[in-house]
Amino acid sequence: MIRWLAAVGFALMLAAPAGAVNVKTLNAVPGAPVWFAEDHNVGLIALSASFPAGSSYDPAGKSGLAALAAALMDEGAGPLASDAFQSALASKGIRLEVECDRDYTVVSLVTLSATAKEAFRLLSLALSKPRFDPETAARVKIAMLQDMQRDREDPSVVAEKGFFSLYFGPYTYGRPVGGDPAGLSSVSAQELHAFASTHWVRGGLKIAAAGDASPAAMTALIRSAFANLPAAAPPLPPPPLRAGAPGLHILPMDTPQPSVFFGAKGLLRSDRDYLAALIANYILGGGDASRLTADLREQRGLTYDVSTGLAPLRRAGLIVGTVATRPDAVRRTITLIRTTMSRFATEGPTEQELSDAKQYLNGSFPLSFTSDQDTAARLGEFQREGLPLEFLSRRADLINMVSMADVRRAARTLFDPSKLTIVVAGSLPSTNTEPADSP
Amino acid sequence: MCRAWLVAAVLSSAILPAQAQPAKAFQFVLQNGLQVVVVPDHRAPVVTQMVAFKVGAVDDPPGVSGLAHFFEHMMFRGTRAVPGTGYSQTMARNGGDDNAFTTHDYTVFYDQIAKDKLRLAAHLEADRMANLDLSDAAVSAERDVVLEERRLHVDSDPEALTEEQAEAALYLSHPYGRPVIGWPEEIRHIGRAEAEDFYKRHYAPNNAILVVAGDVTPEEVRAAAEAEYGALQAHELGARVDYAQPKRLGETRLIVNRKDAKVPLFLRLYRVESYAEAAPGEAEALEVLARLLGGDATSALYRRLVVEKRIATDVSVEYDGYARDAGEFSISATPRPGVALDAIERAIDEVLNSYVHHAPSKPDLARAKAQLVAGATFRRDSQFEMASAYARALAVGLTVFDVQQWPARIQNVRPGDVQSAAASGLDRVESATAYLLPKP
Repeated sequence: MIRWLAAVGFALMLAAPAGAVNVKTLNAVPGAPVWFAEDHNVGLIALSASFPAGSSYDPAGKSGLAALAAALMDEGAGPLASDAFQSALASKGIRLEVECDRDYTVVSLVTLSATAKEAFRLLSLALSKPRFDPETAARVKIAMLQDMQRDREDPSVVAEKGFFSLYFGPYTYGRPVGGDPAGLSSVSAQELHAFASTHWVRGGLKIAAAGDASPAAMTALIRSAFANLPAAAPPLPPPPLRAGAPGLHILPMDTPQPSVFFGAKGLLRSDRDYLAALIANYILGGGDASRLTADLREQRGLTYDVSTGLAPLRRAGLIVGTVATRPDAVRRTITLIRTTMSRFATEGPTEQELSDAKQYLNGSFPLSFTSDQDTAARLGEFQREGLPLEFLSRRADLINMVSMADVRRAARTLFDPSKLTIVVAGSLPSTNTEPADSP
Repeated sequence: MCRAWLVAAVLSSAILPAQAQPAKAFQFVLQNGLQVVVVPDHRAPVVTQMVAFKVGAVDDPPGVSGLAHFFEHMMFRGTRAVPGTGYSQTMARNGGDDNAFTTHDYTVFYDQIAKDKLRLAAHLEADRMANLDLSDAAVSAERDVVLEERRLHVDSDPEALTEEQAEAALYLSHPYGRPVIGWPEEIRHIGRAEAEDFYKRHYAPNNAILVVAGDVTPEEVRAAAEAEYGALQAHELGARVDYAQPKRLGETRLIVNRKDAKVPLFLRLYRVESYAEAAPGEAEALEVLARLLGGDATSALYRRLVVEKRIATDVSVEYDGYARDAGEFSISATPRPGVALDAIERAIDEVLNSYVHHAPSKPDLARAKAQLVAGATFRRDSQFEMASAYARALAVGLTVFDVQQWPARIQNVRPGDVQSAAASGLDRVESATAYLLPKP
């Protein structure tokens, strides 16, 4: 992507499909793609900056380091201790949110354009001079440890964490984003500083912005926050060692509604068949009009929500799905998912389903670009997926070019029920009788 | 309409130097009584259509709590012309997203779609306002779906269960005490007859508000609304019961012990005035008070309990004032491991007490207002947020003018107003306090 950016150069205008949004690239930060959608209508600026600082970068024994660093990003920087930093943001109504996932730490900033300089000054401080004061870090650690404790109440979180652990094993992607108690507790201020200075960096950084600034002003704002960060990108974490633990795994807990998380090997975002997989997934379980929703929810009332999705992590692709239902219907629900999936994998979609899917995926695309905040967030997603800016204008054609044979191939390869790792958080009755809940 | 707001923005320039223009909104009424609001936003070729019916969980018949919410689900279950799940299928096929939600006072259906599909979206919405065709099979399956929804969002979440219990206690016999989703035993009583009766009594153009935000002109919306909704017949509505909000004579306290809870929670709810009930400025003062007490890490309760005394890990305060009857002011806090909930409660009451006896400092008040007013600008960025703001306001009896004045009214809240809100609004007699405790 960096090579592509260099070739395109400064401020190339690209019209996105159906006039969804006009995005320029700004030559603001050496080595980092910067996409900007100019819009003077509302008077705010939204920014989404993605750092190569996800939980998969946590060293062995320090699970939770990346997430703790992210949680501390707005807890004091430079001369401002935590409360002074928070007050500086709040007194201007500036919103700074930091989220950590398996690959990235994503910083979202929303500010009135009138307070943009101050917002970016504070962001610059947070990124380049984080304090990680011991008392503050201790307070945030305790809150995160308590979150882990509370997660044990929630069957959907137990199932998801269990899935990643079983699927990938105890390394990189297998560990929970928020860490484990031993790892998180052991993180020192020194380790936080070392992590920030090697991962909150220009190398691998991606920036998307939208809103009320001229390209020149936006360039200056972005430079003020990011240009002086270290250049070197951290080495990518190793690829996962294990991929999948097919079969049914039960994590016993007492709950009125067991939660199921299932998944199997999927595609990297760079795979040629990715859009075919996107279409196949939409038809099987990706939308309100999906086969799984029709079979499980609409016809049988088995669940409030059943859905599948693609998870294109940087080092591994997954297909994943979730469903939750009453204890005595779990086995039947899993059987139905397997059956629906298997039929889809064998038969592929109908012509109508294929054309409906393409119309939805293309027709709904502009809906993500109706606000500056959504635009910045969506552009950031495309950047994290490693897509070039041209993708915005080519996406509709690329989707239309996917053939029935492509989607059948994707469905056959990806949606094979025998390959599913299925994790249930909850207790199942041993018998296989499931009377309907209602009279 | 816009002028007063601009004047206020200029007066407040010390705090927010460059206030952008408020979003313009246009309003008209069709002959059949359908109220229409248009909020043009031409940045993207997309529209958001929202229809709010002035019917909600307060209108559930006795013994059938959850009917309004259940009925919201049934609106996606087909008409004579668009049978089965054809509504969402047609929307999806046309690149549209759609959903709905129900509150105690109103029920909202919304969709977002390319602007050249507005007529289609209006056609489908008007169709299901009058021509719903329910089957026993659909009713029965959807009832199970709602029971699963309840298990997902309430029954498997000890904090949600605790809040449900506290609300049931707070409102005495007023139906705000019944959960919108309904009690499980009563959801099971819902049948096709109840649903059809509810539809006849409450779903009519003269009980609805249509808001269209996005890339349209008022003229385009008028034409689409006349063509698609204009032929719907107004009809007599089922009378809304005027429930008393009985005077409370003492506070309620409850202790919820749960095996499934891993972390304790302190929760206090106050029955307070809503925007619909309150004298001018009073609801806004509660809004500012909520921000000052627990809006973020700079708020008084967070600073005292989490940062200074280190007895809590999180504190949250919210004011929900968009209701026809009472509003609700809620305070919740999670103790640090090992800290007893009564220590949390004492610390919270000390802070509340200080707000009763002292007006907030100028910097604190300015910060809370800056956040609230900036938040209004951030909401104006979103078609959905703008449509929601108008829909909920009109649904509880407020006006378009009220929505547009809100930032100026927040700016006008004086220190003494916040003190009065703390002193008279947060009355312990008008409260329910719940402790959620993990049971070993």
